[in-house]
Amino acid sequence: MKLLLFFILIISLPSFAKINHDDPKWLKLLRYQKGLTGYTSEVDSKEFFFHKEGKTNPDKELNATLNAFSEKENRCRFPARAIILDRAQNLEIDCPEYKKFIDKVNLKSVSLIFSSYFIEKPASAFGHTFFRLRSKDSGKYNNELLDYGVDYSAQVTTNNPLLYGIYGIIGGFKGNFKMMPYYYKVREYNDTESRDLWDYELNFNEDDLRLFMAHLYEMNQAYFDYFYFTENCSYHILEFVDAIRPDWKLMEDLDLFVPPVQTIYALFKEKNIVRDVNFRPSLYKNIEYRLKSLNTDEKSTFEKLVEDKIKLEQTDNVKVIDAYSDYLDFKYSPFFTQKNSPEYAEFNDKKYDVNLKRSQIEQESETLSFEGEKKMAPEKGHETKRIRIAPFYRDHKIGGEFEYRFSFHDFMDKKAGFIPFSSTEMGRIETNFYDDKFRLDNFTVVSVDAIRPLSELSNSLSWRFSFGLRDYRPTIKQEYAPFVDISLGQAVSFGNFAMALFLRAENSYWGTFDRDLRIGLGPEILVIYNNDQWSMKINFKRLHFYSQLDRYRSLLELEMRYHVSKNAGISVGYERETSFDDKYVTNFYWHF
Amino acid sequence: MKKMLALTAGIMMSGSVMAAHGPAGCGLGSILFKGKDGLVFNVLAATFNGTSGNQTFGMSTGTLGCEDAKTATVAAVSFIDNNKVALSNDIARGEGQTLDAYLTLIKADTANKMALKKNFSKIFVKGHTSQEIHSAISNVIKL
Repeated sequence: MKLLLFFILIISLPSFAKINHDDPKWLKLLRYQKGLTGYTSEVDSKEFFFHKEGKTNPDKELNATLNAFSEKENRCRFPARAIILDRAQNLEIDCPEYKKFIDKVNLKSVSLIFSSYFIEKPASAFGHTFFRLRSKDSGKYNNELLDYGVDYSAQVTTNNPLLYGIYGIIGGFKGNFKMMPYYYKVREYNDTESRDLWDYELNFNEDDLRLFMAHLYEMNQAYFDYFYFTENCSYHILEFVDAIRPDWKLMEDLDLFVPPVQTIYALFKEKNIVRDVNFRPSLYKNIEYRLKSLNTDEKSTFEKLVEDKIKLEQTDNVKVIDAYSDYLDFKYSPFFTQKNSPEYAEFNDKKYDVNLKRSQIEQESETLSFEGEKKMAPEKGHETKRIRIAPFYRDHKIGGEFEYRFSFHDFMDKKAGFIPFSSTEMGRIETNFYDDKFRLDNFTVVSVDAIRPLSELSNSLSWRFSFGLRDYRPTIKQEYAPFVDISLGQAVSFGNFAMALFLRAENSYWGTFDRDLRIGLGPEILVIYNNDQWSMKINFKRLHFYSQLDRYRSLLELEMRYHVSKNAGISVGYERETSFDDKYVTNFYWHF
Repeated sequence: MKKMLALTAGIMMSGSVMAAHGPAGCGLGSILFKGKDGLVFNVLAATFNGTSGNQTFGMSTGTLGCEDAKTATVAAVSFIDNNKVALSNDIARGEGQTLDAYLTLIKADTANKMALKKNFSKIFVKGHTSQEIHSAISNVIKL
C-alpha cells in the first residue's frame, strides 16, 4: 500500500526529464540556429528566455528552464517546453488561462494556407502563407469562416514609405504571430485582394495538435526582428511547423531567400505531410466561372446590365443576376477598405438593388465547381532557380551561353502553378563564350512581364519592366551600362494564346559618350503560346535611339520550348538583330 | 550572420524593391497605403506587403487582433461588420457559407433561411448599422 502511494506520488509530481540541449526538439522550439560562433535563437524578446544568456546558449537556457519549471506559473507560460520536457504533464487542468485558450480554439486540424498570385494585383506576385486552425465544431458544420487564422507579420511603426521600405529590409520592425477569426483572412485575401486561397491540411496527430497549441500560446511572448527577404512570413510559418514535426525536415533544403511557394514545395517533399488540399476561390475566380456558365443571350444581358443599358427589372434570369452581383463585388473590391469613398457608397446602392431583386426570385443559384483549378495548383509549379546552357551558331561560328537565374518564373517556363503569360524574375546573369572570348552579357536585377489580357472584367494595361547592367558593345570591347527598359501596352488572349502590342522605351546610362543618357523608343509586339507541354514566343521590337549615334535597331526573337518534365526543358531559338548575323540557338533548362 | 546576409541580400535587392510591382510578398501593404497613388507608393505597398499587420481590419466594434469570433453578441455584430456584403448576398440567395456561419454563431443553425430571404428588405435597410441588421435578423427568426 505504501509502495502504491509512493508510486502515485511519483507520477503525479511534475518530473522533468533531462533532455540534451542539442536535442532537435529543444533547439527548434526555441528557434536556435547554428552559426559560426555557436547557437543563436532567432527570437529577439528577452521575456522568451529564463537565462540571461538564453538567446545564445541552449544549454544554460535548458537548465534555467528546468529550474524555473518548479513553479507552476512558469510551466503555464511555456506549455510547449513543458510538454517536450515532460510529456505526462496535464497543463490544461493546471493552467486556467491556457485551458481557456485551448477550449476557445477547440482544434481539430491545422492547415497551411497559401494565398496565391493574382495578375490584376501585381502586389501579390509572390504569394503569402499563414495558418488556419480548424475547430472541431467547424468541421461538423463546415463553418470555416468561424475558424481561426494565425499569421506572422511585422508591427509597422511608421507611415513613412521610405522608412517602411528600409525597416522591412534591415529588420527594423518587430514581427510576431497574430491570431484572428479566419473570416478576416478570407475577406482580406479572397475579397479585398482577390487572391485564391489554397488550403494544405497538415497531417498532424493528436500529440502534434497539442504541441501546436502549446507552442502557439508561448509564441505569444516572442517577437522576431522582421526581415522581408529572409525571415519573412513564410519562413516563420514553416519554422513553426518544423518545430512541431522536426522529423519532416522541412527547413533542410530551404534557401536563404524564401519565396512563399518554396515553403509549399517543402510540404510535398514527402507524401505524408499534406493530408488534404482545398481551394477557396477569389472574387475574380467566382465571377470568371459565373461568366463561363452563361450562354450567348445571357452574356449579352449581363453586358447590358454592366453598361447600364437595361435596368435590373428587365431580367428575371437568376444566372445573369448572380453574375452581375458577383461582378459588382469584384469591380468594387479596391474600395472595400475605403468606406467613406463615393465609390463605396455607389457599390452599396447597387449591391442593395441587385440583392433585393435577387431575394424576390425563389429559384436556387447555380453551384460553381472549382475542381478543375486543382490541376494548376501552386504545388504543381516548377522550382524557382534556373540554369540554362545554350550552344548557338552565328556567322559560321559556334558559341555557347550560360545563364543563371536566382528566382522565380518567366512566361516561357512551364505554366502550372503560376500566373499565365507573366514573368517575375530576379537576379539573372547571362554569360557567353564566342570567338574565343568569355564575357558577361548582362546582369538583370529584376524583370517583370505583366501581360494582362483585356476581358469583360478588366482593361488594365500590360507592362514589361526590367533593369540591370548590360554589355552594350558585344562585338567590340566590353562596355557595361546600367539600363531600365519599360514597355506599356494592351494585350488580348484566346485560350493558350496571348498577343500584346507595346510602346517600348529602353534607357541606359553610358558614362563614355557625349550624351550620357541613351534613350530608345519604339513599338514592340509579343506573341505567347503556352500549353502544358509547349511554350512559344515571338517578340519583335524596333527602336529609334536618340543619341549622337542616332539610329534604328530592330530585334526579332523566336523561341519554341518543350517541357521535358516539371523542372527541365529544351528549346530552339532564332534571333535576328540589326547589324548582327542571324543566330540559331538550342537551350537546355534546369530548374532546381 | 543571418542578419548580415539579410542585409546584403537587402542591399542587393533594394533596387528591385524600388522598381517592380512583381517581387512582392505577403500581407496587405496595398491596404496600408490605400488612397496614395503613384509608383513609389504602389511599389512600396506591393513590396512590403508582408510587413503590415491586420490593423486595417479594426472596425467599429473593436475587433482588432484576437477578437473572439465564437462568443457573445459583440462577435455576431462584428461578424456582420466584416462580412456584410457576403451575408447580404447569401440572404438574397437564401443560402451560403457566410449565412451558415452567422447562424451557427448566434446558435440558430436551424433557422428558416427562406424566411430571411423573403424579409431581405426588412433586414438590409439602407444606412442601417451592423447592430440594426443583427436585431432585424433576430426579429425575423424570432430569437
